[in-house]
Amino acid sequence: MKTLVKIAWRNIWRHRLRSLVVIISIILGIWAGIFVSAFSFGLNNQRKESMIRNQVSHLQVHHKAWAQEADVSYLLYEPDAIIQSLLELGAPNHTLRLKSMGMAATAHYSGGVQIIGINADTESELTGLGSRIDSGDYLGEKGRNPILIGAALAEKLEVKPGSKVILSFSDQDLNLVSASFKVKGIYHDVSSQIEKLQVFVRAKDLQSLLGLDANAYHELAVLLDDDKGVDALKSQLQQKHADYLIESWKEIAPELAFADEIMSQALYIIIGIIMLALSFGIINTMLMAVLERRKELGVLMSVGMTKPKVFTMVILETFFLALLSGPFGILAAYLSVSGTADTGLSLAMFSDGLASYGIGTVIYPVLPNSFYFGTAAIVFIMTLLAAIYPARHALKLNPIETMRTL
Amino acid sequence: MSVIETKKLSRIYQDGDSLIHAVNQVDLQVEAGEFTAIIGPSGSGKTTLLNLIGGLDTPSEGTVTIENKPIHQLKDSELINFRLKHIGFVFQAYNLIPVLSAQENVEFIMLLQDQSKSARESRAKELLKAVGLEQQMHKRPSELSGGQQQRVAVARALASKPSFVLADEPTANLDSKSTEDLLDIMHRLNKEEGITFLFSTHDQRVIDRAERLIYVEDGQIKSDEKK
Repeated sequence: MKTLVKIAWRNIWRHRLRSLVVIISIILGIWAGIFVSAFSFGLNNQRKESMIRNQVSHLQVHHKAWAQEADVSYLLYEPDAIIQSLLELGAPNHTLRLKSMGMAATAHYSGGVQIIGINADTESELTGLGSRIDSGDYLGEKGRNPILIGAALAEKLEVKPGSKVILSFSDQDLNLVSASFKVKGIYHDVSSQIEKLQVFVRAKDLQSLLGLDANAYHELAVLLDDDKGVDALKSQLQQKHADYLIESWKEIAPELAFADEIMSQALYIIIGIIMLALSFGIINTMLMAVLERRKELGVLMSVGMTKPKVFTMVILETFFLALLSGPFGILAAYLSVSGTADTGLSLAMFSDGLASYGIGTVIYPVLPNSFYFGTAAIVFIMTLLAAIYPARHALKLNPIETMRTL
Repeated sequence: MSVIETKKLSRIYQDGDSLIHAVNQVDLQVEAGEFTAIIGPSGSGKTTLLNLIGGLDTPSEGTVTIENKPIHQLKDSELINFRLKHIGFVFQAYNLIPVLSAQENVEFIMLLQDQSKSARESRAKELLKAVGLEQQMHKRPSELSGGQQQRVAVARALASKPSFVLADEPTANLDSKSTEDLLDIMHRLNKEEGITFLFSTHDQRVIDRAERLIYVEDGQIKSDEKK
């Protein structure tokens, strides 16, 4: 075996340039595959985190019937009891909201919006809304009917801080209510769709206009440090408050959960496709190596080298190509991912498009370590599979035909 | 005792609608220790006959017996093993493994026989010394002249201590000096160690040194004379 290894190793370097081209192409393929995967992982994670932090939160509590119809009358009838349970379960970060669908109108434009009544302090703590004010100020206690409008909607309505906007919506008795709101501030969101849809007002103003009590809310949003304990908290909370609809972010935004679940599989498929393309290069190279050594292989078989040994020798040569390229490709990818994980990659030129999908303009590539091992396994498996055809070809050689003469 | 024995040995090829008898009903016996040359014009069947004797080709008819073993009955895998143990080959184009040194090329055959490292090294050095290449044993084929490469090939052929050595046109690519040197070496090995050599050749210098000449034409033995 030692001599077979030696022959296989030296055979690789008989055509140094050709072997180097194959090795470099595998390195580049692995690097590109892993880096694209890390980029996609980072992009997906950022989108998920952004949506959870700014919009969905980890858990939401609603009236049981809220999922069927977001009716104004479907209120959380004992929000304080749920908040008490959250505190007991070690999940203190929460905020209460009131929600209503309506129309926002100015002299220039009118369109459908989701009116969200918030408690300014807890909302800002939970979603960072207060820190996302581009112009004007965040909601406060002063002033009559202040409103926060997204930058995209403000552009459509042609309003700025101090401008007036008319909101129309139905109260709990289905009477049409119209009220004038003064733009207090313009907020931004990573998603331009959210900016166009959501407006924020003080909960107490909306409660009053909807004809609801001061402690009437539709939604309790809960944010945890990370999403690891979400399912456990949901289960514990559901046991205590079975008459509420308690949903995790995966149920509220299934597309986020789905993207999360299929990401790994999708990226392995990407790596697989890249390696499949590269394996044809390997097959070509090894087939050339076998064909140009037909006579030599014929001699080896003539003098007594068995077919399994010939097969092993060709497989070993391919294995060495993978061994020389795989680790370097993975190392290059690891260094690239590590090097850009903190600084991120700026995609400012695509900012409008990315914002539509709720993604920031700087992407931070990230990849689980297990993915590197998975990629290494794919590289070696695909390379060895690619070696089988040339190796089988070598086995079919007839010593007489290859040598022509004895 | 016959080392090689063929009876009514034939090799027939199909060429379109016609049949070509490359070897036709050949009866041949080669005794141990002979230094024999098969001669004849191009296309007379010399190489095909050697291929059949070496177990590299399968007879259409007849038998090939090597040291009382009918090798025409062996399966492919058995033939490979038989060749490894019993037959040494010297090829016209040397056909050494280019990535191995002279010593490693000689050792390679013994490695296929699973001989120990020390045994391989010792035998390889002994054989390379016998062919006058003790100073070149670590050089690769590309660093050796044609004559030196062919001497390595002879050493490789003898590495497994075969029953006999088949050499197809061994001097065809060599100059006069290298040819003489090679023939001296093979002749010495034949005389001193009793190794049986069977050549196919056109080369008059080989013919002059051979002790038995078998003339082949149209796949048949036309004459067989011992000097």
